[in-house]
Amino acid sequence: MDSRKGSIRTIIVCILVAAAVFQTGMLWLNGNSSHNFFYYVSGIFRNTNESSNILAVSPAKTAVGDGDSTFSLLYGGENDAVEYSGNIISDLVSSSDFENSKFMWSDVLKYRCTVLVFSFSVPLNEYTSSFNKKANLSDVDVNNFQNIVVVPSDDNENSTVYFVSSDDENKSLMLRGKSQYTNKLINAIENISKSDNGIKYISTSQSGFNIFNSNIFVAQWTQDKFQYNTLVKTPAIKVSNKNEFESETDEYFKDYSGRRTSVDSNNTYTESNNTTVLKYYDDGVLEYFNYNDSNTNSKQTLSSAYFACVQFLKNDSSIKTNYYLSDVKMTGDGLIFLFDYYVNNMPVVLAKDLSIRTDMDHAMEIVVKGNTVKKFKKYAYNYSLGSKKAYADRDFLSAMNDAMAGGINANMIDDMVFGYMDENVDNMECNWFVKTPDTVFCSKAVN
Amino acid sequence: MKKFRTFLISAIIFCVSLPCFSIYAFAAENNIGFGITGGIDTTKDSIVTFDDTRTISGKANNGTDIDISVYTKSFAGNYREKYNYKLNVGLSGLFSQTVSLNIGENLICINAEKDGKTAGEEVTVKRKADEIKNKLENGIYLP
Repeated sequence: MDSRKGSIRTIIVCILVAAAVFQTGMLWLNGNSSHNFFYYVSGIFRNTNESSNILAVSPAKTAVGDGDSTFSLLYGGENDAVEYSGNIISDLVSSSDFENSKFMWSDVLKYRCTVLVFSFSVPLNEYTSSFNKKANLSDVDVNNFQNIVVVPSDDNENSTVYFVSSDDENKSLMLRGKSQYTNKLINAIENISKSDNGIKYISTSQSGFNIFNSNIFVAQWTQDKFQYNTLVKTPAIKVSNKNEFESETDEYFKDYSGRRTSVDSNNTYTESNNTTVLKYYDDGVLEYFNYNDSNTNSKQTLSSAYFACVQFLKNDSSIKTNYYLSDVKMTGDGLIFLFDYYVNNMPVVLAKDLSIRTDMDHAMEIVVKGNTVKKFKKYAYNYSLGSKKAYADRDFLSAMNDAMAGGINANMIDDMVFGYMDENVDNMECNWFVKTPDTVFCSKAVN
Repeated sequence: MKKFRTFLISAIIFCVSLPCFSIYAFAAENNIGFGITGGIDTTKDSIVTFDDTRTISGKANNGTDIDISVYTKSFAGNYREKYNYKLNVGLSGLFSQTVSLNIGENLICINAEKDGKTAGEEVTVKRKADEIKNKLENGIYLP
């Protein structure tokens, strides 16, 4: 009996010793991210299924139409129309074959549909692989797209999906087939189309405005004027001393190694440990640098990098404003994902002065290399609707006339956006933004 | 006989040359570049819709004044102007206007004018009540 008790005691002590050694190892060796003894031991329990760490890139905005030539425009991907459209695309990518098809905006938009508008030219093979399904891409005429049109059929079962070519909008790849989400998408479209907040969107191609480079959805007031609430902003990070800054930024430091915090004469806070540096400037810009080299050689795709990017942003609890993917760029440092904020389905654009002062064209910039966020820069403010009202009575053509008078060629126009301009004032109002590949022309929205 | 032949030849020449004057008049009328590009089909006499608005898009030369009037038809059969919209075409050469529609018959007249030259289009839009649309969608028989 005594010997048995002794054996049990010995086993318990051994387990406790092993756990203590393991835990100490994690603390000393920076979470065992380097290939030390614990790497191989913990590898037994590590999830090596990398196919789960991928995410299809989100559209910047989605036009939702009920077939009556006017559309609602929703920013970001957090809405039913985008969710069900994505589900239908996923179903059809795996079950149907791509067909090369001619495409005419005016023919397709007269039906109930959603148009997923991406802010950059998306490689088709990258996008289809993000659904973790092998799509048959042999003999396809379209390699990149910037618009996906989803047309649910009235039979509530079948849907048609068009990937519209970035190079020639008269070409597309078509998928046709059954999806269990067809009926849900139809209901979502009907609900969204019924809402009337005084602003609707029209398609320039459907309206016969063929002077533009590609189809654009532009805002049109349903009345003479469009009344809206102005925008206010508050700092996302409130700091008055080093301790407060450290408690506000815990989520950027994953390991347990010591952190050092300082503040200089310009009121710039700097916090760092062995692998991470965080800087917060007086003008509200936050910069994060990750110097950990452990995953740099990990194979990266657009979908895996986007997954890493989205996970990083989800962990940032100070972001309370909705945001959407504005652009993606490839540089020597890695993939750069650019995001902007939006409120009440209207984008927030940094005014030129603010953009120059912060050295930022977009509200958030994330560099991902080896499926790890290496650099993050954020204009750390949250936006909300104010109580003050403003109105707009100049339409998109007035803005376009201004842009052309300013020397911009109509067929260079990529987009015409109606949104809030952050001029760093208390109540921000809306303007028109005429976008070309090289510049953004700002025009007033009031006569 | 000779006089009759002369008269006949003159008449034929007059009839043949008449369309040329018409074409010239058409060219003069539309050399302000006016045309409707979307929103209404001007090849049809009438259009049926359930929508309470319609966005009319078109093109014209820079500086052209566009006047859009919506007339509604009374029970007695008389047309009365219900809505009027005035636009001026800028450098883009494009115009776009959302017009309101009443239930029943709406006569939409779009006129363009620049430097004394005019052009125009008109179309009838019949707006049906939403109840009819709901009944049709729910498969209810409409006598």
